[in-house]
Amino acid sequence: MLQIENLHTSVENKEILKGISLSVNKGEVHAIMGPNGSGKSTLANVLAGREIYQVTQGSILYQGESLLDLAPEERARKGIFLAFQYPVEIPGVSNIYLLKAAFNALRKTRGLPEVDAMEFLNLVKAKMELVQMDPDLLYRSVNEGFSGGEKKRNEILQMLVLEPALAILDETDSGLDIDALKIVAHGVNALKSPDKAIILVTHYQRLLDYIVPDYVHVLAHGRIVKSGNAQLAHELEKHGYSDVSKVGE
Amino acid sequence: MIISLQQYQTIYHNFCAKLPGNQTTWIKELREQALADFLQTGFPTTRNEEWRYTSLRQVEQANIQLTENTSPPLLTERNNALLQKASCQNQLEHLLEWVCINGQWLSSPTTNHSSTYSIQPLAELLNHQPECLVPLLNQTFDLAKHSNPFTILNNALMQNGVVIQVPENQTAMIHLIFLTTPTATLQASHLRNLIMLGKNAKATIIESYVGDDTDNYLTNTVTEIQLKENATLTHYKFQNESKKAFHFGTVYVKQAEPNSQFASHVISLGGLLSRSDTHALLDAPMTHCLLNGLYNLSGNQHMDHHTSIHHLKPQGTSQEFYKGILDGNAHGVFNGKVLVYQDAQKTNSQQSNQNLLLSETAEIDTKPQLEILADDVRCVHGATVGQLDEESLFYLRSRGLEKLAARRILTEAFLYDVINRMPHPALREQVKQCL
Repeated sequence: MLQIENLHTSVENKEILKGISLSVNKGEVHAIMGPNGSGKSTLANVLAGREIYQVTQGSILYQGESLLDLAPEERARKGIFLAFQYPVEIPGVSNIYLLKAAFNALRKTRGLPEVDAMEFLNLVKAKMELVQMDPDLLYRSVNEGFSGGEKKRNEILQMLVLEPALAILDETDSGLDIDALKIVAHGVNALKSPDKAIILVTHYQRLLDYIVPDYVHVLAHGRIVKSGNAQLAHELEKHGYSDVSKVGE
Repeated sequence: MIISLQQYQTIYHNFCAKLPGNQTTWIKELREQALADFLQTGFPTTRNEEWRYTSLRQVEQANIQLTENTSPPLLTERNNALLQKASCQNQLEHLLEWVCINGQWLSSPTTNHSSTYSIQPLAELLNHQPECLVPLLNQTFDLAKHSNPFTILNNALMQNGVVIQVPENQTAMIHLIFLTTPTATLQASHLRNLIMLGKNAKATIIESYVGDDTDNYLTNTVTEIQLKENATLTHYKFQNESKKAFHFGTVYVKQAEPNSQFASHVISLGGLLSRSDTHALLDAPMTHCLLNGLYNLSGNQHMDHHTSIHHLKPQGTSQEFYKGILDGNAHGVFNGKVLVYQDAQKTNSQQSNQNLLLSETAEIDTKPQLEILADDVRCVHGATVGQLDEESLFYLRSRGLEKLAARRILTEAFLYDVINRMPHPALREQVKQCL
């Protein structure tokens, strides 16, 4: 589904990713871990098409097609979804309005007609139950005045409604208490299926207690310094990043 | 006298016999005094602080004739389309809609209102019952102190408009549509509206100014409003003139009795060069004033909004919220004054102006001003100028929305609170559709 080959990216001439190669297949869950400043979030954002990052070398193939020339909205329409580390507040745009506009934009790409309002509301409400969100939040402005936990759950709700083929979660666990973490993990697990893939970017191992990854990669200084299975995450939890980080220097 | 002003003298002398009310001495004197004042001062230059960012050179140099009210107004297909677009007849209940084309009221306006109030064309009163106008005309602001040259010119050349009187305890809901469709020459309409709400009266009055985007003309409109005790007026002004037109409009409000409430909603979209003024005199205790406005301009449009709120007596409140979106080479001006005089203790005033610039060449000059002479008041004010938030734009695009759609959603969201402050949902929808 996704092949990243020798990816180099920089922002304002500062190189952040220094040759990442990664292959993600359908049905897999990959965890990208690493210390602060290792380039994890950069990788997530580059995949979603954030324009401030320049790809200076390497390639990203998604479903056999290069992503590099595609606008963020084109990537979204091809099934890529990024759950933001810091979800944006948009006063004046209601949550339900954004969900519906996004949902219909994806349907339009597939040549489907716009969804019926009642039908859509029922669908959204069912997904909201999965992440235990108060239905009143639908009519509030996007993320405005939401608590940290509500914002992250809102990201998961959007993901569940849009049903992406490749979901990238950028530190979705940060700032969550254990109950909220479980709810978010439950939502992510609900998306898991043999034809979808998930990339979890996280600093801590604890999210991986609830979403078990098939592969764990450790990023340090812009390179993948170690890859393994779920067991690797436990080792990192015990020994920290200092040992593996040295490899990348 | 400046040469370019001479045309105004010529216009007056050519038309003075036809100007309504000129057979009555005091009206003729009023007009001629105003003309003399105007000819003496002329159009202000940008050295005048009140006109610092709005140059009137184009207006000064243009050869602008007065609209002649001879034949009955023509309802062409094009005019009909413009009127239909402006109409709210089907959206608002109990609405009386009057249409004025080139300064002339359509002969048979929809008149089946319950006559709980009176509405009459100004020209008719000027000609036949001028004495009725004594308590209404030039009774809001002392023009010697607030000398807007267009108001003075309006006194000299006013042709038509409307006089609305809502008696004690009565209600009214009125939409006035002013359509200008010029003939060959560049022409001006000088309109004057006089509104009086009696004790406990409650009214919504909408003024719409419309024209075809290919037409150039000048509108000079002055509305004077007086509110008696506990009267409530919601006043909308849709400025949707031709993109080639000049529009100068001033609303003067006098709240000289306690507990009256004035809410103004200004929607400015049209005109090549325009200025909209709103001035409120809160001259009684416990009077309240809301000035809510939005402007959306692009291309080479120049749009100026000047407001002043005069708190003269204690315990008044005022709120002012103006928001603007500017694109292309557009130039906007906002100047909002709040004046709290010595007697106006316990005044509570809030003012803000926020602007969104969508291009690097758009420009806004904003100046919120606060002058306080009383010592026990609460006043806040501020202004901001910003661009579309890149982070929000990326967020929406990452959800599959096209760049243009995302920009549109964010600009609409920027105006959301101003639009939502308008109390009529049907009008909110109409505003959204015009953006």
